[in-house]
Amino acid sequence: MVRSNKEYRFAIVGSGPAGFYCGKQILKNTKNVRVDIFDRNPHPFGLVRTGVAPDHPEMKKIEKDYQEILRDTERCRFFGNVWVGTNNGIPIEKLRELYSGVVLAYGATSERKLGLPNEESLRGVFSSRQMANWYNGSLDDILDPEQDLDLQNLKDMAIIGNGNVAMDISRVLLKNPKLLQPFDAPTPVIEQLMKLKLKNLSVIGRRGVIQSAFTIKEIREISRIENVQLYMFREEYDQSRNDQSIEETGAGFSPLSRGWHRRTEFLKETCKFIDSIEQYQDITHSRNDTKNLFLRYLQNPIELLSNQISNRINKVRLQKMVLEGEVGHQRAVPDPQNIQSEIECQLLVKSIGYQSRPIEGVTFNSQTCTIPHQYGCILDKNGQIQPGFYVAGWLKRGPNGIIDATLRDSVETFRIIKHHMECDDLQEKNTTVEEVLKLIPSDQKSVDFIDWQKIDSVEKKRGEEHGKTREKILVKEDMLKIIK
Amino acid sequence: MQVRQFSCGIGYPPKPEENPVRFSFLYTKENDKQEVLAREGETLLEVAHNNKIELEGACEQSLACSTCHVILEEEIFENLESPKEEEEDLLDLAYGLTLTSRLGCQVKVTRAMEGMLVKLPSNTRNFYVDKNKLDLHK
Ligand SMILES: Cc1cc2nc3c(=O)[nH]c(=O)nc-3n(C[C@H](O)[C@H](O)[C@H](O)COP(=O)(O)OP(=O)(O)OC[C@H]3O[C@@H](n4cnc5c(N)ncnc54)[C@H](O)[C@@H]3O)c2cc1C
Ligand code: FES
Repeated sequence: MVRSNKEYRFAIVGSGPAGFYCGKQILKNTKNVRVDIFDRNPHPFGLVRTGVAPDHPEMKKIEKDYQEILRDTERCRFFGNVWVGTNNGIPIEKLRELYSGVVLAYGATSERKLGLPNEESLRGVFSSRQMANWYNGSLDDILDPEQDLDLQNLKDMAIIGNGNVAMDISRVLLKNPKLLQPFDAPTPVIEQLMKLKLKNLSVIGRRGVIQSAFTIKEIREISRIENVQLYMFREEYDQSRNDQSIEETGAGFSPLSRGWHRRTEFLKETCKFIDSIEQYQDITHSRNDTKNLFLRYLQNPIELLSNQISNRINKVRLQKMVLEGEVGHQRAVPDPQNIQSEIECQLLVKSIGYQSRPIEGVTFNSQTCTIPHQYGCILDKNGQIQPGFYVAGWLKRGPNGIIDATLRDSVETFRIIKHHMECDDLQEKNTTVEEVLKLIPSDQKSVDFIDWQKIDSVEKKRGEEHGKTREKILVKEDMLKIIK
Repeated sequence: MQVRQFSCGIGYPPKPEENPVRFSFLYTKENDKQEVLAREGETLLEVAHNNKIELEGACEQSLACSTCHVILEEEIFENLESPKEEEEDLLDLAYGLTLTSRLGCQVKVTRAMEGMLVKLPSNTRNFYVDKNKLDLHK
């Protein structure tokens, strides 16, 4: 428990895991402190709703725990459909005036780019964020599946980047869509996936096998999908295993070495090896119903080629890379022999990372796209800590790491909050709902916990009618209509 | 209304007449040891929640999250059945992984655990910019 009985009020910006874990810690460990949670969406839960894949219902159980926090309406208020710091929303200075403390946990609402000239203009090129948003029924930038994805004509696909998000997308597209049906993937998404004829999926990494970014859990799950065969190129595998990389998987190098070692062994046992271009051609053109997943390594995309008439991507040109640098810090650099190759793809997904955006009035490190902080307390432009101003989650650490990592870093942020409460570094406040509502632009309708419960129960009821856990509402206005 | 803090377990520890197994959890960061009462067959996560020990269990014991990571004593660890492949996979990602790490939702209490010490991994990683500027332990 925090050794203080003062009446503090906290504003938390973002209702993803980081926001909830900070809120939970504050509420559990104090008596007279209240928390208001803001989110730009009418629904809470951040990436648990719009990131975590629909066939991972075990992970979505977490929402129940978060819901319990909101249920304590005496001490916790939800302000959904309210932007903070941007988009005409509540300015950050106003929040800081009104509250004893403000925690920024607004995650990453943008993505990294490849830096290739036509990546924004070509049809059939998307970010992993757009893909995950689509199959998760997010209210953001909706893809037009007919036009943009054109799944019925999709035979070859490439994903740049090989993290867990790339694996989620692969799994969702390789799996029988009927297996998604019982959960919360939107019905229109399942209908689209039914048309899919995907044959060849290449997942492309810049570095080697040992530096793969996916976890063994994710790749094991894919290896168990019916009619899917995993492949690696022998040459890429062999070149990945330089002395430095082998040392990285050795016991004692890093706590993560054990995982890297187990994953590499698993890949070696599970993947078939490709030894020649002819063999590759045979596999990609074979007429059986096996779907092929090629794990490519030491390859960097350098050009996106297109069909002139339709302006749609049809190939990606890759450049061979080699590893360079010290153990644990190896980089991929172009092979001096400048070896290039092309692979066919009618859809290319850039899965090279989400990215956070700055908001007005807050220091931002534009290199790492995170907010500079110490133990979670936000630094001002002179590098000084600002008691009462905190950051947590992806916005603090950068956009990677599972929910466990987000939990642990939120606990760290709470520790500094606790420290500031106990040192009397914060101002007591008694922020009322009216004061908050006054800050919200009049054309924006805020959504409270009762409103969210209404939306939630409509979604669950519609889901039940179709034998699913939930049928998500896909348009914000429709969601707001329910609560009027 | 109070926040419902603990989601697994029946919500309270066994009574003395139930002949509980007694052991302790240690919050490593604070070096704070807390004794708990457990029923044979309960998972360590359930014991933690029944006794209000801070151990998350985000996926409610469905082997999907690794937030229930605990560190056991070598002797106890050695005598347990080996973890399933799925548990090993999740342990690979756990924070502060040690040679005697397990997931709390997969280990069941036995009489042999009487008196053992279960460590909770320190929550903080090295996110710090400069450790010297601020001292939390003052
Ligand atoms: C595709 C994908 C799949 C994943 N799958 C898993 C998985 O299976 N298991 C796992 O453990 N982890 C998974 N993760 C990781 C996990 O989602 C993150 O660790 C976690 O969500 C980060 O939490 P956060 O609170 O920092 O950010 P977020 O979850 O992104 O939450 C940020 C919140 O802030 C809100 N917001 C943004 N801007 C504003 C603003 N200006 N004003 C008000 N509100 C704002 C957003 O609407 C959002 O609700 C996945 C991530 C992705 C991208
Ligand atoms: S509670 Fe999720 S893995 Fe144990």
